[in-house]
Amino acid sequence: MAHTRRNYDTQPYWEGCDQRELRIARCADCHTWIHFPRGVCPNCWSDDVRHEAVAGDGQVVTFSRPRVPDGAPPMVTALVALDAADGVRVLGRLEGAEPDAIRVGMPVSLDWHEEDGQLVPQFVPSGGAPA
Amino acid sequence: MTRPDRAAIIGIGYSDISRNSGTGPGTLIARAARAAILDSGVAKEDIDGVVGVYGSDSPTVWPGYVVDSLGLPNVTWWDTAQPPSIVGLSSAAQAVLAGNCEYAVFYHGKYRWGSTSIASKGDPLRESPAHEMDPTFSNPLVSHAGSLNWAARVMRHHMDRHGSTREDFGKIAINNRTHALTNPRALFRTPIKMGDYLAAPMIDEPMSLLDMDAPVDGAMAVVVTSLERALDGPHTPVVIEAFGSGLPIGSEGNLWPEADGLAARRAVASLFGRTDYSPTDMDLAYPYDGFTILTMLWLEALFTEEGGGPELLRDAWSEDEQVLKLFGRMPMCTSGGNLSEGRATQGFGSVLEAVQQLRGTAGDRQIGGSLNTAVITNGMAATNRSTILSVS
Ligand SMILES: [Zn+2]
Repeated sequence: MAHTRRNYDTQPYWEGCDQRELRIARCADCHTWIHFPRGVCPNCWSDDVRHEAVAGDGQVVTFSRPRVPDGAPPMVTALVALDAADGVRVLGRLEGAEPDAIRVGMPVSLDWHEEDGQLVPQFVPSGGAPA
Repeated sequence: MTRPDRAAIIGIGYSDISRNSGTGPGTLIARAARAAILDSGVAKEDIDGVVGVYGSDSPTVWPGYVVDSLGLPNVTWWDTAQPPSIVGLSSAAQAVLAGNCEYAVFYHGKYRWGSTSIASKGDPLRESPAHEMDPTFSNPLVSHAGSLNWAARVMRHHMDRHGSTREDFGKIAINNRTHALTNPRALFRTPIKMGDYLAAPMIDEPMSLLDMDAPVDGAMAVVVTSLERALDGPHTPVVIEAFGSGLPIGSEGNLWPEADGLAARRAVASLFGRTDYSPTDMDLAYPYDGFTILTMLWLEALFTEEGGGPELLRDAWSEDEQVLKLFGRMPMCTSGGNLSEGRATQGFGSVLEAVQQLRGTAGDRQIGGSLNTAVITNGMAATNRSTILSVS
């Protein structure tokens, strides 16, 4: 099975996930958000990159509905632009929405989901978590 | 020494392409390289360069393995490249132009590893090579879905932004399949019409089975040398006019569905900027078709503006022939592309096809009239390389 793989650059992100906190890398010098996490700021080339917890509200940029193996629950994958971190997009499952009602641009909020023993971010429609 | 100023393709070869070859990837690559060397008429003692695609995307075998497999005694230059295939072709051509070798064999192989299709997941002889660090955090999603694809989200993005429809993408799939009917390399040779396309099962909605290349076993190869040496060979040399690429900031397809179109526009500009041609001068067009959305974006980059692809396709569509003729004359993907030959090729089938068409040896599928130029675009935002081939 394909588990998450951690390395020194991504470990702070995954440690956040373990605590149900979405931590996004950010340059301490010029405040540019950096996702996926990297150790050098692409804007000012600073090495001083730290992780900050951010709110997980955002909007759907695009989405798809992959086929899943027989017996597995259906899923929607959505790319979400975060309101709280300019330029940052997070890819995750979108749960609790009628597939035909999903639209590009719809507001969603962060939720958590466990896959292969790892907590990973997922999203739900804003204003209504799944039952 | 004087360095050559032009490189040419003088030999082409390929293995059988199948869903289940019953052989390992190294054997397929050896067979393709052997066929290309035999086609070129170059003695194996004269092959002094070996270049292969050996990247992070389902690796196969490295150049030394091929040297051993074919007993090539005099290799003094080798190189590896990330996919897609034309990246490796450019490494081989540039090695010739730099004087690092005289006759380079370039190979590209692909294998239906357990990680590439739900159907091959349980086969212990198809267990995937260990992959690098999941830098894009997609493993948990793949783990659940098995066949997750960024291209589906790029397709949705295009449909939402530009109003493209499944029928638009269907024209690409049908065109390629119609051309594949006379291509013995092609794995998929059953005719399809729009009704078949629209009824195809979804793999990652809105992307269906007929919008993507199927994972297969197979390999392809060419021999490259200088144009001067090429003139001594048994075939009309096919000259490599130029290469081009575009690598924008934000090329990760999982996060930036805008990136593929942007990269394509930059790649086309860089490619044609290195020649005296413009895209409409081409006789044959091979926009990359690993996914129909990528074909749409390459066509827009080559021939129209962003979002203009659907109209271009509607104007080019021949209902009678079930093919696309761009501007009423330019055939597209005349071998059926990746969609018909499978993912063994990662676009390299289009190179073999263009060589055959330009030589005039494409058999039943030979396009009539005088053919002098072909453009082959190859890949997506994070990894692409495109080329123009010609004969004089
Ligand atoms: Zn900075």
